[in-house]
Amino acid sequence: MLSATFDLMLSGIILVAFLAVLHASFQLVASVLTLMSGHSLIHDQAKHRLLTLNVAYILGVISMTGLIVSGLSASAVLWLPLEYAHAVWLALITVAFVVGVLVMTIYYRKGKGTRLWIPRSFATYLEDRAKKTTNVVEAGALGIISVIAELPFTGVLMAMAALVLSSYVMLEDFVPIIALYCFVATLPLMIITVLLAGGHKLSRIQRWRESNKVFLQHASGAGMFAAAVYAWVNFILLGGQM
Amino acid sequence: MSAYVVKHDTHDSELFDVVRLHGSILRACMAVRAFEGESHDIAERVCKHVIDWLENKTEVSSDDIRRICSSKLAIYHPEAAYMYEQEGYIL
Repeated sequence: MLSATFDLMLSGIILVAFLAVLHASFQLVASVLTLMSGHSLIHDQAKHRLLTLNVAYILGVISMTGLIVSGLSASAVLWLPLEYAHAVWLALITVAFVVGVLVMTIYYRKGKGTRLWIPRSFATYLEDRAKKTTNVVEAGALGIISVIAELPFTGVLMAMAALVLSSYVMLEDFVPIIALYCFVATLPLMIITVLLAGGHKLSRIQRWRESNKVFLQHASGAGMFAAAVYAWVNFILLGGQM
Repeated sequence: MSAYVVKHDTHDSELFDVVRLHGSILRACMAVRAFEGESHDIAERVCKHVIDWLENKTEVSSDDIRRICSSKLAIYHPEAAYMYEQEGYIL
């Protein structure tokens, strides 16, 4: 019995980790970090400024992501009756399919660069904020706003992770697993910061992002389909026997 | 030299501003860790090329300026030219 519970929990953790990897493949927060880094490098004490602003930005992203996942998990534990879990899973699977199709088709705008399919006014606002960010508080706030801007794409992943947590993970294990989710989801930002701090050129990072954007787009879309199919089989067809 | 530049997004026309162009090139160079002196030197050279190109023109688009500027910048610093081209295309 104990072993069966452990297996269920382990499956839950693996699924949450997979959702976090999918979350990490979305590029809006990385684009904002790239923009902010470019502007940090043109000022005096560039390296110090780059590090402090990027760390503050990443902390902002981590705190907002953690807040959303833990908020959704707590809401599911407190207010979601067991008999509605099925319906909620069905809704999330449908949304995941729709988002998967959107990501596959329109996530990146056509043409050069790594322009994303978000309203231009919002992209301009984020660009302006990234350029004007000069202190850690602004950088942290920018991280928070970036997570919110990416919610149309990543929201369903966070909701699925929260539902898995509330169903298959014991309450005392919520914090480490949410921390794991946040760590994995922000890993690309940490890698970019470490590379820049280590002396790599921003142009090289941007060039890599641009040349691999189609791959990332299809990986995100396909991953979204895989998560939706997995959830459909396990939570709808098999009734939650992971 | 008093050429007007038609902006790509708003289609507004404004007088060519060499100081602004110098600043953009400087930022692109420094974003790829070029030294400050080197960046100023490159920006000055590229601006001179653009001014020469504008000599017999009265109205050009901001895209024309960007294209000419990045092709000249690529001669001196290809990485900076790449970052200059990417401006406005990252997000």
